[in-house]
Amino acid sequence: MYQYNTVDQKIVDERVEQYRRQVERYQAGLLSEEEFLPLRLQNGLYVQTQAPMLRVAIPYGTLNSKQVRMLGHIARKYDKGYGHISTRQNIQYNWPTIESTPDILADLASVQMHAIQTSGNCIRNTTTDQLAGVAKDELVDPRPYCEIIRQWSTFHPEFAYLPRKFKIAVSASETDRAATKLHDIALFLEKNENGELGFQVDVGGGQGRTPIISKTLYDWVPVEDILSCCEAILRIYNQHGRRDNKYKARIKITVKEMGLDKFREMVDAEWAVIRDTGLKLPEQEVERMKAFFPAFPVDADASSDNSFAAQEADNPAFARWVKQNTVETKHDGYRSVYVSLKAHGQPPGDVTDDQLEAIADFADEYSFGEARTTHNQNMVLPCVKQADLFALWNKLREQSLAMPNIGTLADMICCPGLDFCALANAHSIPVAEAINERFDDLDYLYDIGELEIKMSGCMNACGHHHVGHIGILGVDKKGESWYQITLGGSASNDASLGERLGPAVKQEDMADVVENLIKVYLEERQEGERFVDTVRRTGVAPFKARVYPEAA
Amino acid sequence: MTNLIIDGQLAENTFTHLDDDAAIPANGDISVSATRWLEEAETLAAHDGTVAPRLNGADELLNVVAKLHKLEVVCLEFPAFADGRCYSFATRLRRAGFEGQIRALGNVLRDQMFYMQRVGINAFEVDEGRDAEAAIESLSDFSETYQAASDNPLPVYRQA
Repeated sequence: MYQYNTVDQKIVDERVEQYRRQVERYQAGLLSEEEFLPLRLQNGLYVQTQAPMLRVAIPYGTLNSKQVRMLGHIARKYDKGYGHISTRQNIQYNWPTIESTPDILADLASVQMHAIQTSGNCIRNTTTDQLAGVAKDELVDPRPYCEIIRQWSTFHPEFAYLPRKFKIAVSASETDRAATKLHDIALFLEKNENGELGFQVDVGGGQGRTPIISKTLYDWVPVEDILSCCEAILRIYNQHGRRDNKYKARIKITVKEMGLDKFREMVDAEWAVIRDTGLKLPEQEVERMKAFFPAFPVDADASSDNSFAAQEADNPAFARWVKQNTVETKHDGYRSVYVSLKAHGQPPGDVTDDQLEAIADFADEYSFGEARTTHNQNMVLPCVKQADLFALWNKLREQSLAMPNIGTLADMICCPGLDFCALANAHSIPVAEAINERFDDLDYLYDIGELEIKMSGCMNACGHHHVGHIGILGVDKKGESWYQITLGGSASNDASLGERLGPAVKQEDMADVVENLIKVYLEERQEGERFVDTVRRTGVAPFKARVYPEAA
Repeated sequence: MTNLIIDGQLAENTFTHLDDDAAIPANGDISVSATRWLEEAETLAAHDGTVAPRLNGADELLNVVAKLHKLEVVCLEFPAFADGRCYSFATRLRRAGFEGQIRALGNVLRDQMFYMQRVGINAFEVDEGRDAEAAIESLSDFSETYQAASDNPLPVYRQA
């Protein structure tokens, strides 16, 4: 993976010092609350209900074991012993003090990490496929391009005070695993008819109060022009995005109000001016970046091992975990292992200091020293030899990290909700727990099959409810948490927004409601249909009739 | 004490920033709004002193770009530090070949100055009540940069 050179290191070190001085000025009363706000935000520090929250960047979700260990250390030393993986592949700490944040950032800098631009109205962490580099269905490894974008966007002087936050995702695989079309700029690595590599460039995707699937701005842009293209988009947005209303300030609204054609015309004009400048990306720079992401030095004979098949045959629980929580890689005899952060009794995406340290050890022992975070709030050991899977499974089980529930109903995306977040209107973690308790029979979960439940505690949609197969949005009704349900959303290649089922339901009824939805699906489904496929075929009517019988 | 920094040094502020309804003084350096600068172009051309158009992000920059060769100073006004439109204006002014002074006014805080300098702003009227001398330090918060900008047309990977 990418290794800092002296320039990178100097930049993050100087950032720590700059931030330390800012905190000192804030504490000395030389910076007002309002002035300190964007400064702390651009260093990842929020002020939440109970304590500050620090969001640490994990560029495109890739970590080495040393970094994972440091994340565990930070959880232990500065927090209450855990962190929370976010839907943008970052990690959040809920309990640090403001005074400790410069030290945390210094610790992070010592392992080539930072919290730069993890919040604020700037270009955020670039995200991608958690299986990058090993996925069977990928065209190329997207990470060299993500790193190029990371460097271009880090401390971009012109785009630190945009109308609103700005998120970029890159997908290079047949199956989009990064919710790419829900991003402000969505980049799809593709080849043109001449076999040359480039990007399909989409703009204007996003969630929040006005969810919109991105629209294609350019069908194909050569790799060498991708930075000038992005810069032209940002420059038009910076000048023309709305600043009068924060709920209409994302680029999705700019594009919607202006119209895609008019927006493209403006970008075209700007792009023409800057396309052949220093922004041109030379081939040798792409090659230099690619060299940081070599294929893992796998054992070519890994698939000749017989122990794996025998262990699967002897141990149904292991076989079930292999089927549910691992996927084949492009290397014969190696699989990617999903480390489930969705054990019962813990908030989805939470990971403890001990677990992080264990994952770091597993990465060293079994996965070439690398781990990944996913937008579904799990982690991944990207490349594990099949002969090692049984041993790894046993060790993961000891850490409660082997719940075989990846891709099932129990693999929920869930925001922190009212328990932690100052913006939330409703609880989300207790609802996830109630649903988990109701569906604790694994065979039942497997029969239900692939089902994405996504839940947000307010309409800011951090829990991606618009694109859940079942989406759950918490709302406040006279101090009580109520929930609106949507069905049929998707964040993948077939991205779509869910359809509202009916009036909001009470917190204590949520497990019943989900159970009723599942029963309708099991009755209605045809051969091979996932929940979302059935919803798309039948529409929401049969589901609605079951959940709201009195209205039928 | 002065609140003005030009090219990294404290400097005496010779400018008066006139509201649209303020009378134009007999002489001296002035800035006027972009609207007034267009409407009263003839009168202002005869003014004894430097005249700078003063833009905020809502103004049309092209009107100024068309007459850049006649200008010594362009003022960019930041109504709030969070309003980043003028960062793009500065980029566009430098790109158009403007070599005169680009001055940031309004809610100018030291923590924004490093970025402002990078996009081509070289004069700063630091927000009232702030220590301009201390703010100079912020111009050297970072010694390395990744991307091309007005201060350096080459990204890090093209630098020697």
